[in-house]
Amino acid sequence: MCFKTLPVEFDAAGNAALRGGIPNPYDVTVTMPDIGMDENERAARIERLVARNGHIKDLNMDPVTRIAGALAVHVTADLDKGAYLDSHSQATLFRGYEVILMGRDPRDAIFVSSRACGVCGGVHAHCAAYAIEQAMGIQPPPLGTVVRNLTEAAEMGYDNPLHLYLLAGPDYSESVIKSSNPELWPKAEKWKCPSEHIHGFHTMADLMTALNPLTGSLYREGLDFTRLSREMVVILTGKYPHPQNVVPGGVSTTLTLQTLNEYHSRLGKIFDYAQRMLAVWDDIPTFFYEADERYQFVGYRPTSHIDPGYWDDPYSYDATYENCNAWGEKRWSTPGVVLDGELVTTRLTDLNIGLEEFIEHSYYEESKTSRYANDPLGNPISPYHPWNKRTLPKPGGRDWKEKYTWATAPRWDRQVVEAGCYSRLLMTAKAQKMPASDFISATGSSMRFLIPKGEVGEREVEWQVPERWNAFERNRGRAYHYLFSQLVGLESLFEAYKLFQQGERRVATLNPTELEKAIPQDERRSVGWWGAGRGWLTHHLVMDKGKITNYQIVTPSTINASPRDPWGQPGPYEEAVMNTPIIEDLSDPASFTSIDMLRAIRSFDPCMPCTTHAHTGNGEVTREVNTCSCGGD
Amino acid sequence: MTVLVGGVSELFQSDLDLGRLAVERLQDEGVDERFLVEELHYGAVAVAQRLEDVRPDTLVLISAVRRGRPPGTVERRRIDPPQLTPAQLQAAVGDAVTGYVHLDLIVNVATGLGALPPRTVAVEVEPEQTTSGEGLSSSALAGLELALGLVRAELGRAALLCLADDLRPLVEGDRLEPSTPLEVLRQLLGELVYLDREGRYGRAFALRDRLRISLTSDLSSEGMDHRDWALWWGLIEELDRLEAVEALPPTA
Repeated sequence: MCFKTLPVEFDAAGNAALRGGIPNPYDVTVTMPDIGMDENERAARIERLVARNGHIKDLNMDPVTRIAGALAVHVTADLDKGAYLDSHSQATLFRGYEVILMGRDPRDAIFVSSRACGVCGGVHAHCAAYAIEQAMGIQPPPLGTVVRNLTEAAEMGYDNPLHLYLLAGPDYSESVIKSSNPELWPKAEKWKCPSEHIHGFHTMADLMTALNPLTGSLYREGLDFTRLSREMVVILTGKYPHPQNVVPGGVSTTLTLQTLNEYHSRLGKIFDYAQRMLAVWDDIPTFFYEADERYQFVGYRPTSHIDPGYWDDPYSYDATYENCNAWGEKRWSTPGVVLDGELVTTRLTDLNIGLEEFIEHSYYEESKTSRYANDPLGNPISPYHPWNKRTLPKPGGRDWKEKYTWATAPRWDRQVVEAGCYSRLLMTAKAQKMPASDFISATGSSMRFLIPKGEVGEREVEWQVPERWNAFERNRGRAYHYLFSQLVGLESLFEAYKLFQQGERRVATLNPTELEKAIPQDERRSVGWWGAGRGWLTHHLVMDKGKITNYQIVTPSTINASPRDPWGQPGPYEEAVMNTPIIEDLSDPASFTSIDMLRAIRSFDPCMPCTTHAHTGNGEVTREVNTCSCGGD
Repeated sequence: MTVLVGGVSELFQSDLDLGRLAVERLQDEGVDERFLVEELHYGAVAVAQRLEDVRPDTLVLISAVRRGRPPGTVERRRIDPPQLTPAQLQAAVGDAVTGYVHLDLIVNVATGLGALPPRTVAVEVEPEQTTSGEGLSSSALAGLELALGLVRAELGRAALLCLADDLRPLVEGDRLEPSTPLEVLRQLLGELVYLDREGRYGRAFALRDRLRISLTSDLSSEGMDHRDWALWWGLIEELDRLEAVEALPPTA
């Protein structure tokens, strides 16, 4: 392992140290990534083009998301050449959870941070519990970890179809195609679906009609299956979307065989649906690529991803930072970083020490500190690391050259990386470190799944690492991730039955009274590494005298919606838009919808509620919110 | 007949939590078991799915809703399915699935998914305090009492309005020969539409009296069968019962 940018080197045992002889090694003017075009060059190019081309158009798309409406994207489009010259992603609301949590009992983080999102509150609750139990040194019993895995598999079962059919699916529906890409419709009517024998749609036009919002059969079926998974979550957590059962050191679920059987009865219905889902999201890219090769570049960006892994091995996870590399690599979904298609590391400590969050273009005051120079193992960390960062909101006007968003710019090794549930497939496939399974295997370049028999027979499917990460591959990856997560649910269910058979019933280490007494009074810091429906999720905690003194949440949409960093590198949304060709019919520029850009952005599943939060700076709530407050998870 | 009373709340947001508190009160009072009283704060898509399961004839939503009225204002609204474009409905679903909670969102999403009951009534209270916190402001507390009274009244008249709904198709067209009682009944059913829309009885009791007298003194319509007779008299008796209930002082 070595960093590409940060001046950090490793000894043979994997311990990191700063390279000597570099004054201010983390200074942004000292340690800089290799970048292509910088911001000034990009601006100058646009000015030159504008001077000689009347077809260049500035557009604000606000909101871009079909949910929460807290993401705006500003693009400069050259309608003559069919290209996006520039793009800025703007999270329009402030997330205040980190501020709300200051000075509170750390246990509150489970319930408060859960409210960061109305889709995936459970992931925040769990992530907070992981952070707290690491700080307190409480290892959950195996059955507690298994219940968490079951819950979080079910939560993905809710999240993935929700995005594919309710949020992104409409972009590929008959109603949108006929209005934005009418030239595709006759082709769709003639194009025979290769997977008709699985999903039942004869032509792509039939499939697109089924994607129509509210009326389409796939849309309605997606709603039904989100309900089924929600029920699975509720069986274990008592309620949805904000679980009541998550505690440091396990869960408080009263687990019986009936609980497991009820979960099982619902899970069993999912696998046939998963087969149909894969067939739908395999056929859609095939059709679009055949219709126009340029679709391969819609939302394209290099294969640079990050993910902290997901779903623990109940016998390896010990809640310590010291052993995190060992238990991290035994997760069902392997942690890792992939840069330009190459797997760089699978060690959680590397993920942690390479992480920095920049605010040059965000509505915050400079927040770095030098409170901590190292992680608990002595590895160096940056002043921009979440343990050193504070949240100091500073609202202001929008200026693309200065500050323009409430999202920060998280970077790993000062490289732009993307987060997504599909990143789990990528890391796990490349690392080949996942636990042995009858249903899931990693080949180095693909993931193979055996879908259990339901009403239809069992079937083997394979997800290949895509040649180009684009909008279509993100959606395809999300469909395969749905299957991955449900198979992890199945494996976890078998593990729960096994533990039950052995007489194991304990799901938490401490009872509430013991937990109360166990809250440390000295200073502790920790990190919860977990995942959301959109990928990466970390909660960095610092506590002292039994209270939270710093809490930093990095969500996948914070990463993906990030603005330019100090070196002018665009964030993943921005980069994906600038790589997107404008394919839609431009015969009438006045009716330009920017559907290609919207497909690119939405393929990331931008849930802005956790990325940002309702700004109440002037005592005025921008938007009435309840469970969903923030801006992206 | 199934009636669902749903409290729509933003939990622990001061007055915006009124729906939950209303549900607690009604459940403590022990409403008739024919009526379902539930919290519906958990997301509009899930609420729509619940409505698909229960298929209530009547849905009564109680909530604190900011509409710029003086704090504590209580308003009863008969809700018709909103005429929204597919894009607006899709936007409502999008908001709902991320956890936005609002009475209007429930109505919009339930409409979009075809789950809005044929008779839906909202009882709203204008909130005064909307920041995080427990308990209601004094204006919302007063509003809650009035709103609960309106909800109880809705429950009381639900059977009457269902009966009227059953009767309407039977007295349309020329199935029954013209007669004075039939004419009076048609007027009474029209007045019950007014009751449904406005929450006021208007001439309903007077028309009931005329119907009763007319049925006993005038010739009734040719073609009436046992069901007609039962429903006509059932309507009169239900109005008798409601008149007695409505005449009681609020504290009784």
